[in-house]
Amino acid sequence: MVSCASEPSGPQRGGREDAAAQSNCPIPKSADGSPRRCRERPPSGICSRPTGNAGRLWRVVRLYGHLGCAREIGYALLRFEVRFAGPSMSDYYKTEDLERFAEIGKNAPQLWEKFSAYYGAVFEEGALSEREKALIALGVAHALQCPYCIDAFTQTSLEKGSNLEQMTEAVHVAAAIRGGAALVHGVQMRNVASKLSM
Amino acid sequence: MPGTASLKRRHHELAVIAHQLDVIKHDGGVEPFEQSLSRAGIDALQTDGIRVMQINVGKMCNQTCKHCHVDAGPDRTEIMTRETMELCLRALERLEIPIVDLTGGAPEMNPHFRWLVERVRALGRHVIDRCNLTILTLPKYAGLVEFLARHQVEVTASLPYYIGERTDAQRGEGVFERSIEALHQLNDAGYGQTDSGLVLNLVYNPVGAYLPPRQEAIEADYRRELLKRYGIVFNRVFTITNMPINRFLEYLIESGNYPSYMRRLHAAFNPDAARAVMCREMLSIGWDGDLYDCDFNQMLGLHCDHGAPKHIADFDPQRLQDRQIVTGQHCYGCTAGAGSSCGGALD
Repeated sequence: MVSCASEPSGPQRGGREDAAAQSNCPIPKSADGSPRRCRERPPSGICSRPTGNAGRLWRVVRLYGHLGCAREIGYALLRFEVRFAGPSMSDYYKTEDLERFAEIGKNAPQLWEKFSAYYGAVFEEGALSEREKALIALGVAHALQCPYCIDAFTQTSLEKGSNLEQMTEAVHVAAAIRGGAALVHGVQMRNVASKLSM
Repeated sequence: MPGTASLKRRHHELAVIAHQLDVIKHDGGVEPFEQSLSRAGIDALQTDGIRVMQINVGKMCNQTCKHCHVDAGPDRTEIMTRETMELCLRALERLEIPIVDLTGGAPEMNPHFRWLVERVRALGRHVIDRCNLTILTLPKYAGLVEFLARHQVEVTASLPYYIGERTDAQRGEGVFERSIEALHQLNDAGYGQTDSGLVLNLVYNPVGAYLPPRQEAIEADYRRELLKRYGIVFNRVFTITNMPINRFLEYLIESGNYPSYMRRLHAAFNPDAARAVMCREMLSIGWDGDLYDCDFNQMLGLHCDHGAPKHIADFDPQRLQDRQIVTGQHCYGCTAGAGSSCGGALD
């Protein structure tokens, strides 16, 4: 398997190795079953500890190398071109961008106004309290993994009087539904397997 | 480090008021408060009589809360003398101000506190004690609850949340437990009980860089949780926005939240709240007798201005009842959302 001794260790690193170890990676494991560290060098033109965009490229290549998917490397290179030739990934999800949300209305003001009115009405006190609605939104934000929404509804939940116990339970609700949604598709898997099997 | 001593004791740069005013004026990154007023069609804030005389009897306190706008603490020695209290009483004799609001620090730590309460009550005025609760549990102040009850003093007590962890994070280790003990004492004396006539209000304020919830909503949570967990009853919950001055300003700057907090306050600017701010019917008196439009201006050394007298010795009902209020960037704290005052959000 492709691995690199120069890569800093840490939870994320371990996670990748675990994922790779469970994949169909053709590169053999070491005697104790752990992924074997390689002595391979990065492609020519990239230094041994690439940084910046080059570092990103090398990490993408190596990630897909882990999975033993040569075709994916090609796709990764293509995506790299698209993404890093323009704004870098670090330009995404800036905290201050959330405050510029209304700029979306500039080229479609009527749609924005309708959306804003609807959005505002949704979060007004109704059969559910504002605090309950904010907790639902916080859970959904985690299910969607939207950084803007997580920022916004963490603050809103606090401002509606929720505490960390309540907010953590809301996140668990999201996690349970996401996990359950994956798991319940196992029935579909069983149906297909049953149909294909004798 | 916040929470261990006052800014003044630590010789923190924010303890220099001129420097703090400079930070408040220039580093918040939002338009001048007066500009927001102007856009809302308000030329300047003007008083509408004096309904509340708020007397800050000193900066001494038994706690060193991280958000304290007074920068109070055990190391602060500035307290009001009986002579200055006499001047306040003389002013009360000259003008029918119905409410006298005693604040600090911990106002009860002023050695003349009980004397002042008795004298104000003898004038027939309603007295509010802004109490940090823990002071009621100290042996030195034994009998204070009974004293307050005997004189029908309204107690407005700080309890930023109904969960200990968050209260202690703001007010210090063990404060929540002792606050609950004090609330039991107050309840036992009749405070917060139906038809007792003894009013116990609690003050919620955010434990961090965010705005308070809707007052009615959090009051319902407090009522349910405090009764269920501790068997405590009370009259009202007031929500108060943390003011970006003194130790809360220190917290905002150190945590990297200052500009975003100011933007949050600015974005939530509410013209209706601005029209009803508490300073429009209040006179604030400092420990040394100096006059201010509110307790926050007092902590920033912003005296009454625009021709109004600056010391209680020069008390002039006419000029004080109709005066222009001194404003600054910190005023966004009282005008955000539902507004914020010593009596909580606007009704």
